[in-house]
Amino acid sequence: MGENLFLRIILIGSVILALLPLGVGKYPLFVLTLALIYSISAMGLNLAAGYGGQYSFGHGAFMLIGAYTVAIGTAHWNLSFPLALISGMVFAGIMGALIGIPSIRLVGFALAIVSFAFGVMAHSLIKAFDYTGGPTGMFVPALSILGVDFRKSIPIYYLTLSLFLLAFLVVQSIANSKTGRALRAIAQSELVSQTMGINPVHYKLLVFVMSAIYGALSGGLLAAGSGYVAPETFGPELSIFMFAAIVIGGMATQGGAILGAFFISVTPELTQASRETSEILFAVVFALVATLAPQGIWGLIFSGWQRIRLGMSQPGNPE
Amino acid sequence: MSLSLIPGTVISGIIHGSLYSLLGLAIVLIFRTTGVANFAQGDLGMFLAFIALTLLQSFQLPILVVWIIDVIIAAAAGGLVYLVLIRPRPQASELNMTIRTMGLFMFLFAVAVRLWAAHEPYPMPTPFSSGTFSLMGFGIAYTQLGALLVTFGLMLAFFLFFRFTQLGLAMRAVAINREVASLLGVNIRLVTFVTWMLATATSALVGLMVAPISFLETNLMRPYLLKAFTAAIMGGLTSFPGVLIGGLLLGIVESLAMLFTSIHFREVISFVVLLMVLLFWPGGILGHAYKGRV
Repeated sequence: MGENLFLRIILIGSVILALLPLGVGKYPLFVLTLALIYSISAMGLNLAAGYGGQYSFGHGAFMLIGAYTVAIGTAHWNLSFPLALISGMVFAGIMGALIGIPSIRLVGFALAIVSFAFGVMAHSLIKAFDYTGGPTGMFVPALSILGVDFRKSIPIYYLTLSLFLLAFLVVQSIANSKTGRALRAIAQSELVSQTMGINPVHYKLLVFVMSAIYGALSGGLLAAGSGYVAPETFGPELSIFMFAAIVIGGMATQGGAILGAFFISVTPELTQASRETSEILFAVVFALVATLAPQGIWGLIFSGWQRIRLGMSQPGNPE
Repeated sequence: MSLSLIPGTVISGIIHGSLYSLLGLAIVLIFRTTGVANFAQGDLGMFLAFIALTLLQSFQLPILVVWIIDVIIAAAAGGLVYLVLIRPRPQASELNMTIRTMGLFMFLFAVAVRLWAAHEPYPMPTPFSSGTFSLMGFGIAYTQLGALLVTFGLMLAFFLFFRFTQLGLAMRAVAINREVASLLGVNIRLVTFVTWMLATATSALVGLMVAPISFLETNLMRPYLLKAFTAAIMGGLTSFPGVLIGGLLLGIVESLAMLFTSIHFREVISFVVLLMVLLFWPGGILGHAYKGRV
């Protein structure tokens, strides 16, 4: 897609999304907010796993950090909502660096296993203490800024939408910058990239920490949007779901991450299926896509679109 | 808390540790031949324990017979998983293969939750006699002793298998170098197929032994999976003696650390051990760093 077309799509999309609350009811707006929140998380994970090749199976733990920092920060420490949100992001970034530094130097499996273990650990720790609400979780108090409560559906929608656009543009600019080129070089061959003066560990750590920060931002918004945090929302399943989302949508493309996030958050609402049924459906789609179509649904659409365009521009030319 | 608790704690650590070793052994088996970190290894065991429970409830068979049938089903399931999930698109990267096992993990868990979670936890019978005996002032259930013996028996069987059989030799050859092994006439697909059968049967045994110690529930193997991975990494992901020692050490360290802190820190302790091992012994406590499948 050309640069112009791309910009136009973004512009039109944002205008539609910004005007949407005028036209739709409360429940569809809530579902859309959730989908955008999950998209922020998926874009972050995609930065690490898709662009950086760093397979993080503990992304849910960073969302947990963000969500619980907002809940605990506003309830116990009297922090304002933005400050609690930013604290969560800083904390998640530090944790990301702490677990990334020992694992990223090694083969890809080390980070996959360590991040997965981190997710399980965070989930079991948060359940163990009364301070965090134990197994039942805790309510998020009113998140008022200038008299506007950000737990209400319209304020949280606009906050999420603006942060979503910001997060999108940041990932886009990273992907097109020196960092993005370095990551693509590392993905092609780590050895060659090193001879060109690229430090692979540096870039891998950078995108992993970025993904942790994105996770925390998304988790913090989720806490605000749902008004409640519970350990079971942020268990190891969430990490796998987020990974499934980017695999199903298509790794290393922004459209893929967003498509995947919408798929996992909107499907259960549309089909009204029980949680177990939709989990089985996701698992099957996830395994199928990973096995047969590693470029994901976005990749399939994109290559289909290119094939049509090629077919139109070169009539009579057999493939 | 007194120091007299320490010997008993070490024994309890060895008992848990041997189960980490055994599941870790299944992980190492798969990793050496396919280069895949199998995230479904634990939940395959959980799922097969539920199948055993279903067999027990519907056919009233003796538990030992159920164990045998379950292990056979496990081997078949392992072969099926290989054919359906790992065999297609063999040129895919090892990380892609690992993602596929993540899909399987998610699938098994979701199906188990749908079928069985409503009435969990279930008590699970065991072929070992019930009751406990006292060793150095520490009560040990016969179930736990049985699990320890089965684990060491299986370990011994694996070592003999790899040392003295044609197939075991072929498996070691594939683990060292697939291309060369293939040139020397080893049927790599067959060897990988058999490896998946063996590893899944091992998972099933771990599930059958863990279930009576705690109760059978859908979360049964979560903690074991992580500790088995830690044990495997302690062994450098490729060494059989390494994973055995790694699992036992992890079990002992974890039990001792819990004695001095609190049971809540169980997962934290093994996570810290995992990070320490990666920081200070990245190649495993015995071996050399794994540099990718050749």
